[in-house]
Amino acid sequence: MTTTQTQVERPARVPARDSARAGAPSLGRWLLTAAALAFLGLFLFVPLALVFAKALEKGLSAYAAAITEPDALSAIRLTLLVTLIAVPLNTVFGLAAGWCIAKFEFRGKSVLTTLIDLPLAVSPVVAGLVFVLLFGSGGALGPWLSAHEVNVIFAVPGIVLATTFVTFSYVARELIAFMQAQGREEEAAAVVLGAGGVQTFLRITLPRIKWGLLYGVTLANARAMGEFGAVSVVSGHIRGRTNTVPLHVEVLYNEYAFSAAFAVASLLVLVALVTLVAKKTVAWRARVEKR
Amino acid sequence: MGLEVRDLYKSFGETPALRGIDLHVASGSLVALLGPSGSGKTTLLRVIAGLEVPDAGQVLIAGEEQTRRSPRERNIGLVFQHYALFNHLSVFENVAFGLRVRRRPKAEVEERVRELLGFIQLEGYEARRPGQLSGGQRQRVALARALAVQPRLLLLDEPFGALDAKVRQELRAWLRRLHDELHITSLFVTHDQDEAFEVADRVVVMNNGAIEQAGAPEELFESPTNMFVADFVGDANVLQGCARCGRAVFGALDIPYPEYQDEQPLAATAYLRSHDLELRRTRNGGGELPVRIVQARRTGSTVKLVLVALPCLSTLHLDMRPEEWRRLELQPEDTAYLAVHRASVFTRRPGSEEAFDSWTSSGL
Amino acid sequence: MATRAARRVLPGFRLSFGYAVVYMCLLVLLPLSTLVITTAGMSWPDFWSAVSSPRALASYELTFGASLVAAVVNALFGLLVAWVLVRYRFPFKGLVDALIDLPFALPTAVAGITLTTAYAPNGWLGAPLGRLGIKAAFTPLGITIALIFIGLPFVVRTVQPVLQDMHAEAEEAASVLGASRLQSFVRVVLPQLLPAVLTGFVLALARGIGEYGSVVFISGNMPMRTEITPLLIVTKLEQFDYQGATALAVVLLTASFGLLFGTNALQWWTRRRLATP
Repeated sequence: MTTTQTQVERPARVPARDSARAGAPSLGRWLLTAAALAFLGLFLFVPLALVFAKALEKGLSAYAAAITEPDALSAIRLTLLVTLIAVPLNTVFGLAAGWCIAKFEFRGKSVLTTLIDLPLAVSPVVAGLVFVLLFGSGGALGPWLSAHEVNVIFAVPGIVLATTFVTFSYVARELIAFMQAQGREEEAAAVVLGAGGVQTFLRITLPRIKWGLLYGVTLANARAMGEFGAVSVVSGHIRGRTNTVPLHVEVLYNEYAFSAAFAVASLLVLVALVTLVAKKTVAWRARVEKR
Repeated sequence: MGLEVRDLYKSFGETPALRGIDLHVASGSLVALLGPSGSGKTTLLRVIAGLEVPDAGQVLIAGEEQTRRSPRERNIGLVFQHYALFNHLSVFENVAFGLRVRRRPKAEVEERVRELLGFIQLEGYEARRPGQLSGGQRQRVALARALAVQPRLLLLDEPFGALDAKVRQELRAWLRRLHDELHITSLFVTHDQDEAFEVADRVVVMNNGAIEQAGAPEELFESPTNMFVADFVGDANVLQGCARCGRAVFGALDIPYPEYQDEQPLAATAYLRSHDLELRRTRNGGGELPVRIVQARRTGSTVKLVLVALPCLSTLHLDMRPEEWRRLELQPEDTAYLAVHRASVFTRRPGSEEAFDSWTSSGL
Repeated sequence: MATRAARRVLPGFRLSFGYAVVYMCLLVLLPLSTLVITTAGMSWPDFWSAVSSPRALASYELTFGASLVAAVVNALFGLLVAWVLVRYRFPFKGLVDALIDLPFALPTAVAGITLTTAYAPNGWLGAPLGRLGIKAAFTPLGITIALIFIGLPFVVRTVQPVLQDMHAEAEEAASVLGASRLQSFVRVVLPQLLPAVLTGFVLALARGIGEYGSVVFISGNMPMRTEITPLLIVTKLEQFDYQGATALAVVLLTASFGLLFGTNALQWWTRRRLATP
């Protein structure tokens, strides 16, 4: 429907692209498409298919057994716990950062924006390392922590901290981009009309950023559930205690329990696929609402 | 080198864009394609340039068939509405582009580009990027780029559409001078009739994918051959009425219309141009239309009058010189008489939706 | 003017700014500062010997070399994929486009075991390669494959929007001026895409240098042969050599920050160069 309308309104514009291609030798176009798809097949599609093929290799019952055995369940529980702490923390931060960066002018704004991206440039291994340096037995706070019998490293708090660190940027980045694109006139209008700060935020800002927020949270969620390097460094790999789902996958894989490893991994792949669907949906919703 | 377009058809999906275009542009002339947006004028230009492939019909340049040729083989200059300059290249390299891809010797490129930059009065701007130029300067660079390859034909798509009024005015005059110097066969698209009439030797009026009328500016203005042209070109007052027995009657206005002698009345439309109308205090002869003056407003060097024809109450607009208006000593709410010196009358044949008969009556 | 007015009108600046800064200091800056403090506690010879041991040097060569090759492959094929996705139509295009982001969303460990299984000598892709005499898994080639996977979305996603926004007019102008398809691509399209390709290339490179999860499975982890720098850091940690690990971490961080700073500068430069009011 929509395409037809555009064509009626601007007959010269829409076909312009078509005609730019019209003269292209279709053989060349076919070859380029084939080359691109072959590349993607080799590096994306085949591995994706392989996860499910290997996971279901030994049948559905083996699949169900692999994801319901006690160690797997405790890994799932731990991953959910960590995600439920890390993602909301970063969401609150994202909202605060988005609000002050998108709605106000202040000195050092670009520094703040750059610093928010910083954790993305840090190798996951280094992200784990800094917490070991801070809280580990040889670290800055180590002696004090062991004197008070608080375990951070090789325990759940360390995993939570490392996960929060690596997912730090996601919500904030999405929200800053989203809120900057929307400007601040509507909020200013609400305040002039007599709305308070909280009312303005809940009634004006939040409804407008909900898709960006949703996407940022989905991204952070996928990364939190799937983080491997940083968590691996701080966790100590204690089965049933400090194993998250990705670490459990590693353990199973290293024990040559391949189909069990892929069965558990397929759960994470599903999370990833949901994230991709969320991204498409958000892009689509944002387009719809712009109209 | 003239341009000939024969029976050209093009549609985009279900939407027809060109419906049987026949057009001849004489060698060395400057022709305007005038029409409302969506009339197919840009599509026609793009088909001539080879950027669109027509569904049927032919394009000939200097008598040579071009229809199957790619744009790069046609040797045409095309100036885009939004310039389409290469933003990553300097002004010099933009102008030189066509020569570079033809692998012309360096010295020749250098010389030709310098010459053109002089011509468009942008010497000293060689190293600038398009982003650092004003709209008018960019348009001139786009023109120089198109001219650099010595095209057989120059096509311009709404060349001044994106510029503000003053720059537009300057560039119009400049384009006309440039054409008088170079005598390159040129075709330009515009929706602005002032632009078309001011610059072009001939104006082609397009509507709905077809050519409505082509001719010299005064021809279109004085004798439109159909209602669309009468309505679209210039500002005309429109009266609805009917024709029968060799007369066309519009309220109190009665015009001879020998084309139709039947007794069966036909719906008729009359177009009256402001300069063919004369306002009088008193009746003088009997053919005048009684009007009431609603409003008189002085704008610059003219007085703009709003009149209502009596008794049918159609609104008419009339411009006159201030001293004439003063001499008449009329006020709003006064009744006066309007002499019609010339009118274009169109009737619709019974049972036909589209065909209009036209007749221009003059010297009433 | 408008901003100053907004600053007065909108509430919550102090609260949101204060919270964001404190949270960031506690969670990001404080932990990262331990790297500086630990490094400062080392003597220069200690630091130098930690970062320049033969094993460390071999790991740099592998890490940077494989990342560079992977980023180059991704720059070329990413450009191709973006081009095909924007310009051509083919079945399941929407699905293919959505799946491009898979490496961003997929946990690295899953990517690691999957690629290892696929490219292992008896794997779906490893077996045909093996018949050609190419050994992929547990070699530098395997590491490069993992890094290609990890960096795949970067170039595609930086080039795609630029290509989408590019007006067909510039190409049309080139063809009317007599340029062939190849000339028009090389002289008109490519220069406009180049900054985006470079940005994506650097992002992929920076990501590859720090990558751990997807590589450890496929690399084989042989010291001096297939041991990447992040793995060497983990090894040092497991031996409680915190200082050695920190020194290597500083090298990695310096490299990826440098690259990131480079992209920012590049973007700034491009915006200025193509400034169109």
